[in-house]
Amino acid sequence: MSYQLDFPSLVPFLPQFAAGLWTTIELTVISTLGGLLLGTVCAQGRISKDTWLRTICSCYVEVIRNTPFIVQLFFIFFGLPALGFKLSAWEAGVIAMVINLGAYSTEIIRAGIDAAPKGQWEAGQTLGLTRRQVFWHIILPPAYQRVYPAIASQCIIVMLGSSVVSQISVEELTFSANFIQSRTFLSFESYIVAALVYLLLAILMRQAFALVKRCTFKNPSL
Amino acid sequence: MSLVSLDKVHKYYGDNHVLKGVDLKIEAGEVVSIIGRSGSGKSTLLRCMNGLEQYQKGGVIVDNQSVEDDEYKLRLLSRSVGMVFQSFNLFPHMTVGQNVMLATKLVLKKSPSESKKLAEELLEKVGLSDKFSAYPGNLSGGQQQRVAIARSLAMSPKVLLCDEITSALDPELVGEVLKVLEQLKAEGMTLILVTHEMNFARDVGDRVVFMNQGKVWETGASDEIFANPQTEELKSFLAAVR
Amino acid sequence: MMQFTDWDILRNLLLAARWTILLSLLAFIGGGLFGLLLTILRSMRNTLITRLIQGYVEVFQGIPLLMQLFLTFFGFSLIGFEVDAWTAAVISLTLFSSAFFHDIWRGCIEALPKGQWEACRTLGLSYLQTMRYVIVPQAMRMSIAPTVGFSVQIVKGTALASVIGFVELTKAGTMINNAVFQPFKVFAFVALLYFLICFPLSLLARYLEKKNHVAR
Repeated sequence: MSYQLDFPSLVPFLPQFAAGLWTTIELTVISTLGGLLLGTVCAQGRISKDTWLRTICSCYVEVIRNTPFIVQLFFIFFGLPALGFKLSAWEAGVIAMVINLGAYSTEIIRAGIDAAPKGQWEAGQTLGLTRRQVFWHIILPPAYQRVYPAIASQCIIVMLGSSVVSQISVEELTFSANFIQSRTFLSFESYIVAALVYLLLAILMRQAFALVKRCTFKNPSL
Repeated sequence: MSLVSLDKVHKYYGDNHVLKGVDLKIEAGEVVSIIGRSGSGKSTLLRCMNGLEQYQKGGVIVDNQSVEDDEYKLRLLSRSVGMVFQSFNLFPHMTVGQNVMLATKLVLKKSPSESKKLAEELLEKVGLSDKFSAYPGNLSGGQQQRVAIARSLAMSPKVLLCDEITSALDPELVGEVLKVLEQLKAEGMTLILVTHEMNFARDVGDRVVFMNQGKVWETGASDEIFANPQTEELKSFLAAVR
Repeated sequence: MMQFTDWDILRNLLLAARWTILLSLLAFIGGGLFGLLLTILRSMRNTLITRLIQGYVEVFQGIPLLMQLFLTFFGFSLIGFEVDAWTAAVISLTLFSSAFFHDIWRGCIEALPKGQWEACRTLGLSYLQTMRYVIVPQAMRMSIAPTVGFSVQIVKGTALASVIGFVELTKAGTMINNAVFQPFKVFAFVALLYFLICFPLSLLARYLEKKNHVAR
């Protein structure tokens, strides 16, 4: 009945934890950058004058936002090779994460764009800027600033979501914990360690985003 | 050829007939005030002159260019026509200097050093040379509006459209903006203002256009119009705003 | 070997989808009730309680749901309760959603303008009266849309219960795929079924949000 938690036995497996953590960080950084880029481009697509482009972008957003990440992952990893796209687990994981964050950030960034006063578009237009120039130089930067907290939260959610790619054997933090518990039978301890590392990562990411905010947005808040 | 010429311009918002055949000619160097009740179509008229609003019938020609619903043509037109807005519409994420330099860099393709020199000159002209690196959010309304004027001037427009540019300002800040306009008039700039500042219209403006029910109801030299209004509508309007 | 027609695949997935829906409902109700309890406790404005609840939210929002499932699954057996995948899934999804629900509702309460509190104070209302008659009714109206919105997250969250072996839609998908080896088709079906559950909820949330905006 009574059970002693045994953390010391996990010490020999620290390198495994570290390797997993590194992969998690790698996945997070790549998919954050890729996802935000994709989201920015699609947000521009969603306000485009081209009906087709708008429709395609909204379909993408809706499909991704209304299906579980793990199903998207399985579809990409198991389903796409059936069509001839051969992907490694790592590649499939990154692609799934980028596509996932891309959809969420599209919506977030678009909300920031929608909140731009009409006068900003008009001011840019009367200065002779092209629509594209107005978008990138005038509309987008304050839009990012407006929705920055939502973007930060979403990136943290993506980091936490990366634990799911363990299910296609990407050797990240959760995979390490799985591996270690299968070796040691210290399942609870292994998962507690991994969970704490995730929690720490989430807190660190929040701090990092706050730091970036202080360094980037020098103008008085909008 | 007049700098600005409107020929029987009609504008509808859905079923709402806003402009009902406006004829108006404005010469280079003139300072014209457009006055009228809210809803008389005066802002719409101004916005038809640079393509921010499309009109359905008639023609607008500014600086020998026809104002049409065509992105490329409107971009060319924007080099001749500057605009200052009621709500300033400064870009909040850029410093004052960056606001002024944006279009000279992106549209006129001037070099950064050239742009900077021009921006400094213009900011000095509007009395804000010390605010080059400040953000708009840290400026008063009057200062922001002067930056907006400098930003428009950076494109060296032939005519400056001013859409109620003092309406969003606290009363004590109106003067500093009007002073800049007087200075521009002295330099020979063509100004078209939609305004509530009757004193400015009378003392500085050359000509007043009174809009009523979507038409140019009465027009004439400023002192004439104020001293001797002809129509009942203008009389009652002037009585109401005084 | 048994032949699966498309209809067989779909039929089996539909049967499994019942469990996804049931699990979602239980997590929604359980998480809602527990989240409500947290919100009430927090509104008592006791520093210690507030800190504890903040910590609770931080932990459940800062640890992957998958990890929460593992910890629940293995944690219970550690203290001597053998729980099955179903119980573990219900418990951890309930805890997970309670943290988010609490966070959403607290946000709605705090989003009300300070003037509302000040107006009540000048009228001589007590804290509880202010809450009861002024704050909660407004916050409730505001919270409906994000609450419905979060239900989509719950439905998607239930997919992770497949990892600890609970046979819901996703698990059924992997099992069927192991039998028929048509991953593209099977997972497309799985995704479609999730979409059919989630998309109406998303639309409803958006509609409610728009309605709320117009009303204010």
